Amino acid sequence: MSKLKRLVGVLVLWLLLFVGTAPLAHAVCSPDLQTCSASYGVNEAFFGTGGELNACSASYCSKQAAGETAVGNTTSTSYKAQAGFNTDRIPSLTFVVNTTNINLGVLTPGTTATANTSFSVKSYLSSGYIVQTVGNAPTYGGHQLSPLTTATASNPAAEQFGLNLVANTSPVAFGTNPVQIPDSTFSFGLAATGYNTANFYRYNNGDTIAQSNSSSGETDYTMSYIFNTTALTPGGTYTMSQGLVATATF
Amino acid sequence: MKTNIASKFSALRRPVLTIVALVLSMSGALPALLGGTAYAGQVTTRSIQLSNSTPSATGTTYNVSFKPTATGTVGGIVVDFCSDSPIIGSTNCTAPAGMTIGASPSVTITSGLGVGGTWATTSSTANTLFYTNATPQAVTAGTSVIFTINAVTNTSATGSFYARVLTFDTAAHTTAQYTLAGATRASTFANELDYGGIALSTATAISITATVMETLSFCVSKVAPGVGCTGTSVPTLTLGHGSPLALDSSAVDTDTAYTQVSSNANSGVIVNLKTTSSVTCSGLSRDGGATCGIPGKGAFGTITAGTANFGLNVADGTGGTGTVSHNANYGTTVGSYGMGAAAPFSTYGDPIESSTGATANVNSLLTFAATAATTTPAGIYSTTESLIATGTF
Repeated sequence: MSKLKRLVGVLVLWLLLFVGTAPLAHAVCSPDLQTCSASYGVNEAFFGTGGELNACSASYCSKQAAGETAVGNTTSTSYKAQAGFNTDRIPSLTFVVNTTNINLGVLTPGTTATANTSFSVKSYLSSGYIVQTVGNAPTYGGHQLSPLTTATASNPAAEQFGLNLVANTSPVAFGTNPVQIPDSTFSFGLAATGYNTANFYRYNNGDTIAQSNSSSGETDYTMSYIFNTTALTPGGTYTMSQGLVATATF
Repeated sequence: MKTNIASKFSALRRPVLTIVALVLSMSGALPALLGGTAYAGQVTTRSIQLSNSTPSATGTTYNVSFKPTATGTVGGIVVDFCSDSPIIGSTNCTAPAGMTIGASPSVTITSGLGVGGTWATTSSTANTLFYTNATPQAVTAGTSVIFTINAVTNTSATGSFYARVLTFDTAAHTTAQYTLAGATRASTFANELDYGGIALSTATAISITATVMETLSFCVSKVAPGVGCTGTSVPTLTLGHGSPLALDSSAVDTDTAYTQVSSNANSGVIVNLKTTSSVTCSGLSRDGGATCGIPGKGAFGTITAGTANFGLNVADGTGGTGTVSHNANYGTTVGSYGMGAAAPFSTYGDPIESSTGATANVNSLLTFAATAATTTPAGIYSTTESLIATGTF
């Protein structure tokens, strides 16, 4: 009889197991839950003391944290977790172009002109992002300032247009390396290959110029441009509308 | 007693084993019985890449990519663009200001999604794409579904906005379950297969302006000019032979000069020859142009000794950078010459050579030729030719 009981017990366990693990969860739980069973769901939760996700009065709400000992994220090949009392469940991509207009005035053949612009990227709950440059090199009357299709040093005797995202010493000291905000333990943005070597410049429409291979706090990038013209560079006012496209993968 | 229990156990064995078999078979069939919701999950590696992130940009392509969680078929895809939240199930989705995917959105499947049946964008709104197919199409777990939404007008707002991506088992369920009422959305969706939120961002384009000054350097010299019109000499030419130099009917006499053109004119430079010593004679005159004892050659061709003519041959440019070519009326067969009958003394003269783009330090050889007829009155014949270079920038 005990064998019978054991067998029936095993059967019941099997039934419970199969019913319990059937992928019904999403059908009965709100789809925005990070995890759920047939009965319970958790999206963004606060456990323990020292913080509050939604502390509200009649007029204001706040998120509160106190005494956190660890914040940031941890990852494996399959999973990622954000640690901290005030983590958010909304994926985000914050992309700001800080300098939107540069005028170099008159270019002189044989003399390199330089300029800087900057942008910032922050991506949360993503597996990384890329920033691409979109637009032709400065153009006048159908003539483009010759873009450097491979990373090349500045040569004042040749017509050149290019940029990079690092600190340079040639042709002059200008530009800065990507700056991680608040530091490199939270933010991981990098200048992309081809745009990450000091004193070497490049430009191809559509190139990826910056990237992060993981969710990242703010990275501030400085783009450093060079412009070289020759006596053969057609006269006129060259213009370029450079679009930057940030794409995060979640 | 032992026998009794054993026999009861034996009697129960068959139904128990039957139940076990049923449970096992049910476990395999359960997902199918549960329909599309069986493998609902958050799609991974999802992104939407913009071809242009400038606010209000038109004709933008949105490249949508995500990996389904399970292999199966999909009858509908919803891409809902919201300014406030990417959370699937959030009951509010405010349309991004100014954004439109078009009245009849254009969608192109790139890969990972079957193209059988007919995919249509019926029921779509300015910010919500319904992409459905009455014949559900295959997707494969872990293989990216990639398609583009074409001709999108970006939101006019600068900064973040969001997209919610959902897949459904059938076309009918897609439109029936993902209901729209202005900015209001349902919080749950039956028959949903996969879902995922995506953040996007517009950003102001960077405007770069730089000016290259227009330049034109042009010189005429008796000797070939050096780089930058250096080493030139006054181009005073004397035509004739013997001593002193004189024209007669026995020969065609020549003398040469050079031009050098340097210019960054984008559309090139044209050099005109203008006779300034007369308003009626393009040839040589002994009385300041009142009469024309040795007239201009006219059409390009051979000057025959003894037939009074004055002409010019222009060789194609050499040296430097760029190309300067003769005008057909003045070159380039050696020994042939041309000189317009009237054009040289017109207001701007007659074109003799030109470039089609920028040039630097290109020299052209000009060969003037003349001969006299036996009836040509004696005297000192002359002309003054001005060479005018005009750049088109």
